[in-house]
Amino acid sequence: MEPTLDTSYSDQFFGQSALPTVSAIDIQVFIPVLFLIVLLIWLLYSGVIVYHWTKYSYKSWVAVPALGTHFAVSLVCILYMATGLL
Amino acid sequence: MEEFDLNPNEHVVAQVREHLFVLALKLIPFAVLFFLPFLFGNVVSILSMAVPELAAVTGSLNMIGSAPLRFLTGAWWLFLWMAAFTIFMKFYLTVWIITNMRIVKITQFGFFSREVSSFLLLRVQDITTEIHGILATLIGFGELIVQTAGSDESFSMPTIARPKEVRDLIMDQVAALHHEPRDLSGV
Repeated sequence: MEPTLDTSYSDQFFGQSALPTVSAIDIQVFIPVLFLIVLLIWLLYSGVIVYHWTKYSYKSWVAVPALGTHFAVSLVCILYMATGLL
Repeated sequence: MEEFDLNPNEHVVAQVREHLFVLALKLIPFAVLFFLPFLFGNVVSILSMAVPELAAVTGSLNMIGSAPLRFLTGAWWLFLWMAAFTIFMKFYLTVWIITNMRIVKITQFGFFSREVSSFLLLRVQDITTEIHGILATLIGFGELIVQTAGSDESFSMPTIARPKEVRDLIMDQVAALHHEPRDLSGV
């Protein structure tokens, strides 16, 4: 649904409005964009923690299960988020 | 090991971290915040019924199980998980590595923020353990403070697990060093 433009108020002062106003915001338009932004943040975060665990864990056996848990839990959260795109 | 290399005659005796109970305390708020989305849908629904004008603003958010709410919930849980995992990472990567020649204190403050300090066991003059409170006494965590010779600087690790055992371990290694001098070149 396209956002409706309500220019009646500003037209009283400026004639044709310079900035259109939006009276109804459809959240469905923004969800895919938000999803991409969240995904990018997650990718950046995952890269940083993989770097830290592989470099500073001194080959500890905890590193692999920890990173595996991170990706597993993240996958569940992301899949649940994706159901909101439908 | 990239941050420090072990001497040919040096080996790691123990790695000491904060007590797991301290980590659990830090993660409790995240467990509580996990359930926040379940309250959110109910609160929005109640408010929308009380204030009909609000329904126009919240749109489909007031429907429990709605797609936007699922998306926001998933995003909330994802960010919550990232924050909790960061705390775990800081917990695990903050460690005292005790070798037969020195102690390497590594503190992970955050991403790309790390402090590594090393002091020889031969310079250890005094070791103090402090355990305060009922929980600390019963569970077994406290502060370990190591005073080195030649400076006023002391190294401490608060909320360390089994501080008395760690203190005894360090003292044993110091005593062994004094009885059997080792080649410390390269340390």
